[in-house]
Amino acid sequence: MKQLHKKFTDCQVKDLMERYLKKKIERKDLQKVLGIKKTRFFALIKRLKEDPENFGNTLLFPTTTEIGGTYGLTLMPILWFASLILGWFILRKTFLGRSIFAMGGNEVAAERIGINTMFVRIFVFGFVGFLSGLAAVVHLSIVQAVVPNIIVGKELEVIAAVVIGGASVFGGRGTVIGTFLGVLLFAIINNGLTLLNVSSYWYNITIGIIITSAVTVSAYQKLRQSRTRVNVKIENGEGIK
Amino acid sequence: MKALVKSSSNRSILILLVGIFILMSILAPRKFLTFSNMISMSYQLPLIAFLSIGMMISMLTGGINLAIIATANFTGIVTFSILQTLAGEAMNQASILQSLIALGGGLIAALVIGAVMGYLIAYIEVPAILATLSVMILLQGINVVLTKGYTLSGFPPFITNICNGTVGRIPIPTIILIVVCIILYVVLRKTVFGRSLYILGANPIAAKFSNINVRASLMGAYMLSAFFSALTAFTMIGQFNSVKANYAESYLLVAVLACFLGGVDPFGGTGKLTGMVLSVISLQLISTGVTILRMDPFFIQAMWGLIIIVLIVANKFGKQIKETRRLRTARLEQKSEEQESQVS
Repeated sequence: MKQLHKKFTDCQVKDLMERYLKKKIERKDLQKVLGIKKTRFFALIKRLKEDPENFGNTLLFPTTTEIGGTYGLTLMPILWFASLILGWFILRKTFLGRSIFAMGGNEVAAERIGINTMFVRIFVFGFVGFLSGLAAVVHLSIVQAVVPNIIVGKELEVIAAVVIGGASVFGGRGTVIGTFLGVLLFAIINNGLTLLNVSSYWYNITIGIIITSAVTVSAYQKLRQSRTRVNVKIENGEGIK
Repeated sequence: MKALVKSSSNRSILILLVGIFILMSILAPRKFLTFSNMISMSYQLPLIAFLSIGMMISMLTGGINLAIIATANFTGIVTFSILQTLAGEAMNQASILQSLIALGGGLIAALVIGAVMGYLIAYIEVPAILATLSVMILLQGINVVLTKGYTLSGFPPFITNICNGTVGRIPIPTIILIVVCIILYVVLRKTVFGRSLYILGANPIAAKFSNINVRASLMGAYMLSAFFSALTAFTMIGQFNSVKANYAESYLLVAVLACFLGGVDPFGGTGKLTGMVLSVISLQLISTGVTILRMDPFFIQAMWGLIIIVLIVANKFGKQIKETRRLRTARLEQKSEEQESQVS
């Protein structure tokens, strides 16, 4: 959907127009603020009167604040949930998805049972490209500007979110729901720290501590499990270190 | 030198290096083939070289060290804070002893970080990529908190001289790089520790059974890697005369790239220091070349990416051609043998 005004969001334009209709602002002032001519102004007014609901961005569950502005969920989460469901469906319910897991677990074995590893690999990287494209669209619609290196360096954060969600870096394990929770954890930490009035300097430290402890604890548990297993197996008491 | 040319793993990178050198000499002989240009390149070389060598050491053991740059910045910031507490306001007149203490403190900080990473990886068996990634994020946060995001500057002339001065006309960091490379070469080739790193990367279980203390060696590898981060930090202090939370952050993946280019196997076990140094020099040649030819500076990264793709594909095809040749000769031999048996 095309934006109504270059410098103002659609909500702001709508708000200003409504104020004009309630005779809170003069027309000339509004025209000056928006920097538009008379014809364009009346065209906008007409559009607002005809169809006040769909003027500007489409929002899900729109609500009005006490001040009078409207806000709601944008359409981006729909994109997110759709890609989550798509990813879940492919990974869990199709042959292709199961072959991805099989390949991650043991590539040679996967090839032996008749999986076309080359096709699977091409599909995986192609799908990642597709999702990157979606991410680009979402990012573009938020920032409304294109910068060649604006999210360079986010890769490592993405890895961290995925790993916290329980995926194995060595392949063959991981769930969509886990990844969803991992991403959600990051979002909640960020949002929570802001709400707690924590200085933004401390974001990375908090996230770092959480990841370090999560990774260490899970590795330590694994280590202890494998130790007990070794101890049970060996009879003489002298085990492999 | 002979061994350098003969070893097949270094051949492609050597061809690349010589190729770029000749290409640049033809395209811009007056600017490129000058002594001052060589000096300026040797100024820029140590930074990437130290980072890449640090990355290589962790890759030899089959891991990866994503925290090299965060460690380097942390080292710089610790050095700065020690100097500040010792010398107070008059930081740029700090005495030699104070500067040395500060540099030593920075080095110790880096080694402690390396030891923490090594402990996580070797003793708690966290996958290397995760351990270093989380340490990286943590250090980035600490760096920002310590500096409040500002660029802190004002090092005493002693430190900047050491890290950015010249002997004759050769920059001191380059001399340090050469000396450290020679020492590291000997360590990796001739000592038990160096050889055990290779075995560790190739097969950790075999290493365990050949009486190598796997955990201690692994921890040593990450400490050595952090040591190179500290060297990077000192070079950066000298060249920028300041420290910041996110200097050189974009060099992280460049270091990985240099390792691939130098023939280091990311799964561990193979990789030579000579190949590594050659690859860093060729990356530097490319970036200098792009600058001299007045192309867009962002073109440097594109060129680096392109060259690694071309090299990987070329290596792959080279291997395939070798394989088919081997198979063909084998088949021919088989045929002739069959014919001989039929004749007899």
